[in-house]
Amino acid sequence: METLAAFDVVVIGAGVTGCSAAYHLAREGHTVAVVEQGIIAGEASGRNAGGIRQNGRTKAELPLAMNAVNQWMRFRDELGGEFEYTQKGNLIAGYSTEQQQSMAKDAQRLRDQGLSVQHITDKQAIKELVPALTDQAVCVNYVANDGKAQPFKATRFVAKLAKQHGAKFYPFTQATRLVCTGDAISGIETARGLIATKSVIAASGPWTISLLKDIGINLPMRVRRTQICVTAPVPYFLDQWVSSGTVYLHQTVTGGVIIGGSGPWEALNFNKECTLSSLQRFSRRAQQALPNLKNVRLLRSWAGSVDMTPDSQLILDRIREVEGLVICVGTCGHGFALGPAVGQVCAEIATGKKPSLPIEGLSLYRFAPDLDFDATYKITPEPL
Amino acid sequence: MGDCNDCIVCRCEDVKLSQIRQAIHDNGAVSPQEIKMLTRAGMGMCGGRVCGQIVGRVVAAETGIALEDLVWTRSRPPVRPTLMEEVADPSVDAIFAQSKAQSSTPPWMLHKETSANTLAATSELHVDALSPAQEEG
Repeated sequence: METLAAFDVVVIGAGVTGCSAAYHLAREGHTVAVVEQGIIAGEASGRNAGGIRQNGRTKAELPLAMNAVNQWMRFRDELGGEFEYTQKGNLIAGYSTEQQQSMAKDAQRLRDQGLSVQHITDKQAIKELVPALTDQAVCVNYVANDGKAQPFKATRFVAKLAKQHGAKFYPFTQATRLVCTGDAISGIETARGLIATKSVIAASGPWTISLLKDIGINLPMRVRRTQICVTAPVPYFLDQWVSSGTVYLHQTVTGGVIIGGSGPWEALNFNKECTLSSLQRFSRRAQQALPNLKNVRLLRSWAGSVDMTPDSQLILDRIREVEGLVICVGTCGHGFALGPAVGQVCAEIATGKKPSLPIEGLSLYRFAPDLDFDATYKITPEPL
Repeated sequence: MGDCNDCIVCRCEDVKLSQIRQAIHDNGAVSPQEIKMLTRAGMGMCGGRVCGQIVGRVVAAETGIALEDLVWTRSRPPVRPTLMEEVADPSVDAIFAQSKAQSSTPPWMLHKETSANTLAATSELHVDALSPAQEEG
C-alpha cells in the first residue's frame, strides 16, 4: 500500500477528545492528522445533551472535569467560541433520607478534592434556587459554575482551533488497521492509504475495540445506546442542569427542554433508533421532577452510541505492549465535558511529556486482562 | 441557486439560505445532518418536512455531492409534537409495548457506503487532499 503522508502524531477519531488532542499537539508545533470515518463531531461528541459538569464526578475524573471547565471557559471567553456555553449551575436532586445521607457524603468527598459544592436540605432554599423543581425533593447537591453547551458547535469549534494551528483533518477516512514494526507503531492503514507515524492517539470510542483487537489487545468496553428528547420551545424558566433519578433535564437557549438519561435497560450494541418506551419514561420522570412540563409537547428525539467500561470511568493510558500508542476511550457519556482536558493529557503522553493532570486511576490496567464485560452486564427492565 | 441569500429555508427556525451556505463554506459541512446541527434547520415544529429537501439540494449544489450520496437526517418519534401528558398516560402502554426498537442501517454504516463518492466530490472543497507532497510539510 502506498504511503500517502507522514505526521508526528495521528489521531483516530474527530470527536471532542481527538479534536482537543490535535489542538494541543498542533499548538506545540507537532504535525498532526485526525482521521475520522464519518463527519467531524458526528457521533457522541456532537449528539450528547451538552452537560459540562464537575458535580458528582468520581475521584479519578474530577481533576479532569475541573481542568476542562477552565478550558471551555477559555475557548468561550478568550478565543471567541460561540457554542451556547452557559454556567448557571448543575444540581442533583435527592428524594429520600437514604439518598440524602449518601449525597451529603458525596458533597464532602468532592469538597475534599477542592470542588465548591453545596449540599442543600432546606426546602425554602431549594425552592429559591430552582423554583420549578418538585417539592418532593428533600435535598440537592449544587455546583454553581457547572453548565451546558451545544456540543456539536462546541466540538466543531475545537476542531476549528486545531485546524488554525495546522492540524489536518480527514473526514470520511476510516482507520482500518494499526501498523506495527516489531513492538512499535509505524503507521496506520486508512480507507484511502497508509499514513506513516510513530505515535497514534486512538480516540475512536467504541470503534477502537476492533482496531486494538487486531493487534492482540482486549479492551474491556462495550457500546450502549443513550436516548435523548427535546420539547417544543417554552418560555425560559430553568437556569440549571437538573439530574433527577434516571433522567436529567435542562433548558437550551432556544427554549426547548432536553430530557435524557440511559441505564442498564439498554442493550449493548450500535443501535441508534429511539424507542417509545424511553419517550414514555422521559415524559413521566420529567413531569415528576418539573411538574410544570405537563402541558408541554415533545418535539424530537435522538440517540447516540456511548462506550461503557465496567466501572463507568474512562480509560486514558499509554498501551504497554506497543510503543507509540495512547488510548482515550470508554468515556461512558462523560467524554464531551472532559474533552479539552483528556485531549491535553493525550497530547502530553503522546509527545513523551509527564501528564499535567493525575490519570493513575484511569489506567487500562486497572481491569483484569481476562475481564468479561458481558458477564458482568445485567440487563434490567426500564424503570418507566 | 441565484443570489437569494435572505430567503428563509427553514420557516420554523427562521434559517436563511445565507446561514446554510455559511455552514458549508465556513464550517465545512457536507451533509444535511451537519446543517441541522449547526443552524437548527429542520429542528422546529414541522420536523424538517418543509425544509428537509431544500437543505439537501443546497448542500448538493454548493458541494457538488450527488443527492443520493448525502448523509441525510432521519425521522424519529414523535413524528408530530405530542403532549408529554399524553405520552406519559398509562393507557398508551399497550400501544408502546408493541413498538420494539427496530434495527436498521445505522448512519455510521451509511458513511462508509457513501464515503467513496462523497470524498471524490468534496476532495477539493472540504477534504484536505492526502498527497505525497504533504510528507514534506
